[in-house]
Parts: sequence; C-alpha cells; structure tokens
Amino acid sequence: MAVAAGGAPPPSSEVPLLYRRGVRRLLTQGIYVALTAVVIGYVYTSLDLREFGFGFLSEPAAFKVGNQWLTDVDGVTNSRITMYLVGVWSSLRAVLVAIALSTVIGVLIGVARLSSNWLVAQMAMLYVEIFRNTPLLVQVVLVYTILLIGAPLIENVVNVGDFFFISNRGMAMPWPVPDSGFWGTPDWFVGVWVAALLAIGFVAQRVRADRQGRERETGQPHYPNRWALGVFAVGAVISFFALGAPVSIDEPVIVGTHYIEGMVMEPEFTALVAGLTLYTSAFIAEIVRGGIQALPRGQTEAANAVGLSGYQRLTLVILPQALRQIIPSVTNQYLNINKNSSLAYAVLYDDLFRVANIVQNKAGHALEMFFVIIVTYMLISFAISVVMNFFNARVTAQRI
Amino acid sequence: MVDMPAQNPQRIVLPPHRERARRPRIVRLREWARRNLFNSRAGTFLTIITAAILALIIYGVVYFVFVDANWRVITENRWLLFAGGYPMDQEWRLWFSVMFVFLLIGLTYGTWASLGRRDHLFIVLASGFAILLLAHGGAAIWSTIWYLIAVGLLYAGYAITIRMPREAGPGRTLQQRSVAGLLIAALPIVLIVLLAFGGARPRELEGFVLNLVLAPVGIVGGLIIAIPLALGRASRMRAISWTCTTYIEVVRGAPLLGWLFVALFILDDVIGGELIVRAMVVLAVFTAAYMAEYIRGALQALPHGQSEAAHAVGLNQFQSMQLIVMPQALRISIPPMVGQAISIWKDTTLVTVILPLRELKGNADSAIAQFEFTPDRIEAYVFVAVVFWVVAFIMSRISQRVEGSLGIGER
Amino acid sequence: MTTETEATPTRDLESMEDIIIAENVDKWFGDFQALDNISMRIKEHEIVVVLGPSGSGKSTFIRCLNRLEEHDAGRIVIDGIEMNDDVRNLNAIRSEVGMVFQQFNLFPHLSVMNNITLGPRKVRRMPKLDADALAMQLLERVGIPEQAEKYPAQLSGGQQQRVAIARALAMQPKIMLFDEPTSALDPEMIKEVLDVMQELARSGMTMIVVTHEMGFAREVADRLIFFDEGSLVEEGTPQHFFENPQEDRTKLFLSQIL
Repeated sequence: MAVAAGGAPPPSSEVPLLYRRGVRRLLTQGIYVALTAVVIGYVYTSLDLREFGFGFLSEPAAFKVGNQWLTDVDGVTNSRITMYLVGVWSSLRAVLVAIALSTVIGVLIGVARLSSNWLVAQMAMLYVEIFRNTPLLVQVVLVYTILLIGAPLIENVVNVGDFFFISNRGMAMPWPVPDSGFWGTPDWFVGVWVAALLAIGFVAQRVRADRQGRERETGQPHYPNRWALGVFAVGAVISFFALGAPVSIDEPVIVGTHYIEGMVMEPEFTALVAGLTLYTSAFIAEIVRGGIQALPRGQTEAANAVGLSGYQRLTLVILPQALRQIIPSVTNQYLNINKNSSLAYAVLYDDLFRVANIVQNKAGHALEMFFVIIVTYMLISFAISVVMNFFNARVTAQRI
Repeated sequence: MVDMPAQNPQRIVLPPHRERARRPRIVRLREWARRNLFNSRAGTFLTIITAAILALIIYGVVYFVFVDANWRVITENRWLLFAGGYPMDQEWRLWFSVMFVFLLIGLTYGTWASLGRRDHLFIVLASGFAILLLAHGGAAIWSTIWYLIAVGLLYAGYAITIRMPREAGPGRTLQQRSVAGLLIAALPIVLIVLLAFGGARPRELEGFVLNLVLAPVGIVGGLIIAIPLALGRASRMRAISWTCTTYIEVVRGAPLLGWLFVALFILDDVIGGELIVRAMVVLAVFTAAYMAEYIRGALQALPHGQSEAAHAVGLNQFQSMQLIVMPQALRISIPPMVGQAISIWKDTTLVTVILPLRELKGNADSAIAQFEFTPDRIEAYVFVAVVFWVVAFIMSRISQRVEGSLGIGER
Repeated sequence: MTTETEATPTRDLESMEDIIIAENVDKWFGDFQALDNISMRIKEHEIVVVLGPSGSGKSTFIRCLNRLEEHDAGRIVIDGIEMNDDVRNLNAIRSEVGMVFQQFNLFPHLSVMNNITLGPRKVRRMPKLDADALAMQLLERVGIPEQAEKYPAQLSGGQQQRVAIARALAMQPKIMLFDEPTSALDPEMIKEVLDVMQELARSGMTMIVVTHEMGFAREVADRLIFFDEGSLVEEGTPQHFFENPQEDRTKLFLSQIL
C-alpha cells in the first residue's frame, strides 16, 4: 500500500456521499429531528387545542383568595389574572422569608457542626440528619397540624399584653399602617421615603468606603461598618419624622373568632415557611460545612498564628474563602425553595400554584395554566440567579 | 546498680509501654471532657446552654412518645399505612419482595463492603421498631416470623458473600457480576411479583408499598433516560444538544408537584393509563433531568485524554462512550446520584397529594375519619416521618460504605 | 545496555517506501495557526524525532496523523489511505497508527490486562484467550508481566507508560506515535521507558517521537525535524543537527536545551 519513496501520493478520490462524516452527522440529526417531530406531533394531536388561548385569564375571577397581605381583592370585580398575581405575591413572601431564615440558620448550624465543643457539634449533626432526611411535605404538614391542634383555640387565645396573640388562627402582632402625620396623610409618603432611604444608603456607603480607606492608611480602627449603620439609622429616623411620620401602630383585636387589624401570621404561612426553613437550612448547613472543610487546614493554623480571635478567624479568613464554593450550591438551594414553595398546596396556603389550580378548576385550560405556572417559576428562579450571580461575581472578583 | 543489668540482662523487665501510657479511664474521660466540653469559660457556658436545650428536647420527645401520644392510630391501621388497598389475600407477595430485597442488601454488603458494629446495632434497632409495630393484634405472629426470616436472609446473604475472596480474579468478577445482575433485575422482579399473575392492579398499590415502588421506578427510569440525555446535551450536533438542553431546563424549571398535576390533567389525553402509571412516568422524566446534569458534570470532570486514548486504540465513538467514558463518568457521579435518589424517595410523598386514591399520607387522613382519632393526626405524621427517615438513612449508609470500597474520588 | 554503534541504524532506508505523506498541511485553532504549510514524507521503518519549543505545533502535527486533530487544508496519506471525511478511512488509519501520550491516559477503571486487550477484542474481534496471550507477550516485552492484574493507579509512572506502549502495540500498528512520552515522568523512571522505545526501534517499527530527550534523539533517530511557530524549520540527520545546524532558530533552541 505504501508509496514508492518520493513518488506521487495516490490521487485523492471522491468520497462516496454515504461515507462522509458530515453527511452522516446530518443524517443522524435528520432522523433525530424527524423522530422528535413525530413525538411532538403525537402529543399535539392528542391534546385538545381547539380552545387554546389565554383569554380566560381576563375574565372575572368569582373566587376568593386568602392569605393576602398589603392587597385587598375580593375576587368579585377582579380578573383571574389579578387573583393569580395575588398568589404570586404570596409565594414571593414565603420564598423570601424562607430564604432569609434558612440562610441564617443554615450558616449557624453549619459552623456549629465544626465546633470544637463536642455537644454543640453533635446537636448540629442531629439537626441536619433529622431535617435533611425526612420529606419536606411531611414536615410542612406536621408543622401545620401542630399549629392547628397544638395551639389553643382562639377562644382561649394566649394574650401577651393585649398586643400579641397566639392561637390556632395564627400569631397576631402590632403593625405600622398609614395614618395622618404632621402634614396630613400624604399618598406620596412611601415613594418619597424610599427614595430618601436610597439616598441615605448611598451616603452611608460613601462613609463606609471613606472610613475603610482611612483605616487602611492609618492602621487605627475607624469602625466603617458601625459608622455606616449609624449614619443610615440616624438618616432614616430623621427623614421619617421630616416627612411627617404619617404612620401609626395598629394593634390586633379579636372579634368573634377572627383577628382584625394588626399583622397576622396565619398558620398556613408559618407552616410553609417553617417547613421550607427547617428542610433547606439542613442542606445549607451541609454546604457551609463542606465549603469550610474543603479549605486547607493551613488557613486555620495561619489565622491562629497571626493571632486572630475565633470570630475574626471565621469572618476574615475562613468564610470569605469558603464562600466561593458555598454560593453556587446555596443558589441551587434558593431555587429549590422557590420550587418547593408549591407545597403550599398541601397546607391550603394560597400561593401561585394553588390559585392557578383554582383557576384551572373553574375555567379548565390546564395546558395554558401550566404554561403560566412554569413561566412564573422560571422568572422567579431567574431573578434569584441574577442576584446570586451578582454576589458570586463580587466574591470571586479577586483571583486566588 | 548501673552495671547490674549488664550482668543479669535476662532479669530486666521494662514496664509494659502501654500500661505506662494509659491513665485510668476516669482521668482520660475527664481530660476528654475538659478538651471537648469545657475548654474555656465561653465553651463551658455553651455546653451548659446546649445541654439544657437538649434536656428540654429529650423531655419533650419522651413525654410525647410515652405519655401524650396515642399510638393506637398507628398500630390499628398498620396494614393501611403499610399496604393500603393491596389485596390482603396476596400478602405473601409483599413478604416475598421484602425478603428478596433484604437478601440483596446482604449480598451487596458482603460483596462490596462489610457490616460494622454500628450497622449491626442499626439493624437490631430497626428490627425492634418493626417488630414492635408488627407484634400487635391479629396475624402478628406470622408477620413477625416473616420479618425475622427476611433479616435472617440478609445475614445469610452477607455471610456467604463476605467469605468469598476479595482479590481480583475470575471468581471475584463472577461474584460481582452476579450480584450486580441481581441488583439490576431486582426492580422488574419485584414489580412482577407484586403486580403480575394475579397480583394487585397498579391502583391497588397504596400506602408505604406505593412509595417503595415509586422511588425505584423513578430512580431506574430516570437513569435510563438521563444517560442519553446527558450525552445529547454534550453532543456537538446542534439539533440534539439544543433539544436536550431545553428538555433539562424546562423540567428543572417547574416543581415536581406541577409536573404531577400535568400527569393528572394533561397526560391523561396523551398517554392515558392509570394515574399511578402516569405518575411513574412523570417521576422518571423529572428525575432524568437532574441526573443528566450530574452525569454531564462527571463527563466534564473526566480528563479529555480518556476519550482520546480510546480513539487511539481504535474504538469508535460509541464504543469509547460505552466502554471508557460512561463507566468512569457514572462512577464519579455516584455521590450526587445517591443524593438524588434519596431526594426522589422523599418526593414520592408528593404523589399522595395528587392521588385521589388513599395513600400513605392519605391513609393517615382516612384512618382519622374512620376511627375518630382527630387529635392524634400528629402521631400519624410523626410515624410517617420516622419511616421515611429510616429508609433514607439506610440508603445513605449503604452508599457511603459502597462508595468507600469502590474508592471513589481516589482515582 | 545499548551502545551507540548498536543503535545506529544500519538499515537501508533508501529503498523503503513512503508510509506517511503530508502535503501542505494547515491547522487553525480559531485565529491561531498551529500548523503552517507542513510537507513531509516518512519512510517505513524510519525513526523520526520531532523537536521544538512548546507551542511550536509539533504535538498538533502528530495528533493530526491519527486524526485526534483534523487538519484544515492539505493532504495526509498514511499507508496509502487518504485522511479525509470518509468514516471508513478514519477507522482503518486508527488501527494502523498506535499512539502513546504524555499523560499515559490509561483507563483507570480497567486492569492492566484489560487496558491492553480492549482494542484487540473490541476492534479486531480477537477471541479473549488470544488477546490475553498477546497481552502477556507484550507485557513481557515491556518488562512488567507480573503487573497484569493490577490497576493503573497501583503502578509507578514508568510502569504506566510501559503499559501504555503495550496497549498501543496490541493493535499491531505499522506506525507508533509518541507524544512526549517521558515528560510526565520522574527522572529515575525515564530510562525504563526509553529502553523500551529503543528496543521497539531496533525491531523495525516506524516511529515518530516528540521528545526533549536529546540522548535518545542522537542515538536512535534516523532523522530529526525541528518545528517552530507552526512551521517546519529544519530537518536532517542527528549528525547534521547536533554538529552543523543551519537555521538560527534551530541553533538558539539547541543552545537552550543542551
């Protein structure tokens, strides 16, 4: 087969079409696309799509949605899409509170897992093992059941100084509501105050950066965080009163078997948030522990050698490095909280999933409703990812 | 004195090293406590606070378990909780499956790991728990006997396999292959025993049995779909990688409960069949998306040289995947896969939300309606939680041991 | 072991035929040109050592010779088979050309025995017993028959690389490519691998070796080829190279490496 030394190579021949790699790839993909098309076509024809459309969403709702907060829609004059958005708002509340709580508890438990105190470490392990390995649904339902039958009936309500109540209708506590301030009841109050807070926040941030700079230059402590916090707090209080303080505190009252006014934490909300928090914090604790343990032992030893205290060692040396590994996994857990909030369905908390289900029960259109649900979850997930990517970018900005 | 040893060397008796080093047990215990519990003033404070909380929790649990709780709701409905509407005259099918699975666990442990003292303790405790549950009322004697036979099979399988040589060789290979083959065949065998030849209809799978069937179906079905899916996503052919990516992202975008509602309302028109079967399909399809991502991660973690070397020895694309890349990728992805399996096991409870049928959780409810145990629903949920925890614990324990002996992470 | 006189090839390469023909080969990685108009012919039984600084394209070139990289322009003909889009040719060439990698790339999940017999059994459809016998024969040839049942992770680097050579030889290739086979080895293990390669060279195998081992190049090679920045800068006998290099770049490189 080999060619005589220095001889001309065999003339290149045309490759038969069927043996060309490119052609084969194209064929494979063609077959694949055809098969996919057949499957999709089958699904398409088996679904009844004659009435496909989203028009039904703008029709009047004619159902009630519970667990409202800061909204007050009765479902009589409102469209179905409005009610759905109320449900979205309920989901968001539960998700945000659960994210905040599970992060705090998760980090605490994760650090406690590595405590040099044997008892603390064992307790933390127990916490993780229990809540990570039992179904979230059972946790949520169990908490809900305990709240419903473990808590006193509203007739025997636990009354703390006439402003804080606990019963099987939930917890009621005082809450600020709009009221006439020094200059009447301005509608613009919230907007203007939020704008003012943003400006003050910006100033506080500048103060912090300035103090940090001076601390770096002089070596003397300039307490940048305390100063920034102080500036912000003072600014917030001053601006609040300068705008007329049009807010009064609303204390809850029991009328019959219901709370009115005040802020009511319903058992449904509490059960969902508690379940999500217990479950997710156990996972976050493991992530935090893993992130810290992945660091070389030398880091702890070096921090000790420099003479940092235990707290300084954790906040200045260990956590900043561990965060690189922790944040992506924790982001995943936040996305799980978002999706798991659909378990609200089991405790009758009117989140987006339950409201969507009610709409579907009333109006049909299962396919459209599912489409709406999945898009909503994806949007929330996307928002969480964007925020977490921002943090991640900040943490990984400096290469190590 | 100094040169005495030289004259009588045989008379020198040095004090045994260990005795000198070992202090009395109480001293060691005190030393340990000082180091691990009372190492500083803050540490002591922390210990006292934690101990107080622990005491409170223990008191609460003990009070609940032995005083407050009324466990009759569990013991009187244990058949409902365990098997729901499974035909009672077909009980032997359930016990056969239990024995088969226990035997498999014994064989697996004997082949790839070994039972430690903690494993034995766990088996004894779990058995005590099971017998406590079984030893109430009617056919209790027989149930207990069947259960004890199952545990006996576990130890028998273990005793046989642990005595076989572990060194690599044809015998070892044969042993590994047969056990692995049994593991693969286990699910179809159990499904056939439970459902075929006069067994139950799928809709009669209820209670704990349903969860125990759903989870493996989801795991195995998910894995079967996940492998081509992961390869598809990593493929260089645009049409294939794009559709696989879309599949994975869309499935992961919505919660499982949402997909189960699809099984309930939408899939009825598409594939029909019983709701349980549709739920199984959804569970597999859902799991596959997550597993595919773990496999893809493992594929990316695999050194590129592996597939290059496979091509260099003349293997084609398919052979390289089948013989070189996939075996290694699957092995790397075992730890996250086990996490996913445990997650599915817990998620099977969600099926109970969509089943208009009675099921584990539904049973707890129906028991309440039936026996007017309303204030005792907490016991039912606590029991369910404990059972799920035990199975999840067993899964993670087995995987840890097998992982350890497969040497994952120490390539 | 081998003295210089023994290793110096006394074969009559003039009468041999060209087994590898490369004509005007170009290779691009995005905007970066890795190979620029490479033309070369290699005769049967010839031992060619390819030299060059890192990033010079020498690895890319030999990887093109068994299609681990696809060349963008020009022709490569190996043993009369054109390297083109034809799937049949690709498979034919892969089983004619064995390759040994810098990082060994043994399959960690397979025993040494299975590493070697995988190709013969799956590609050549050889019965298991025959493949095992062949593998044992090869392991004896590379000097580690006692390691047959071990796994790669249990072997030293030098042993792993010798298994890799045996694995490549098991396909009974006409040509062997070596991509820096000793660069990842500890110094005390380099010799055991070079000895195996020397023995292989004496047996008449056609070899293309990318290496920085100048001793090997001087003793074993029929021809040295120097690559720089994707081009073939200079080629010639070891004598020519070490005593009378022509190009400035070659001189510079040799002064740095010797």
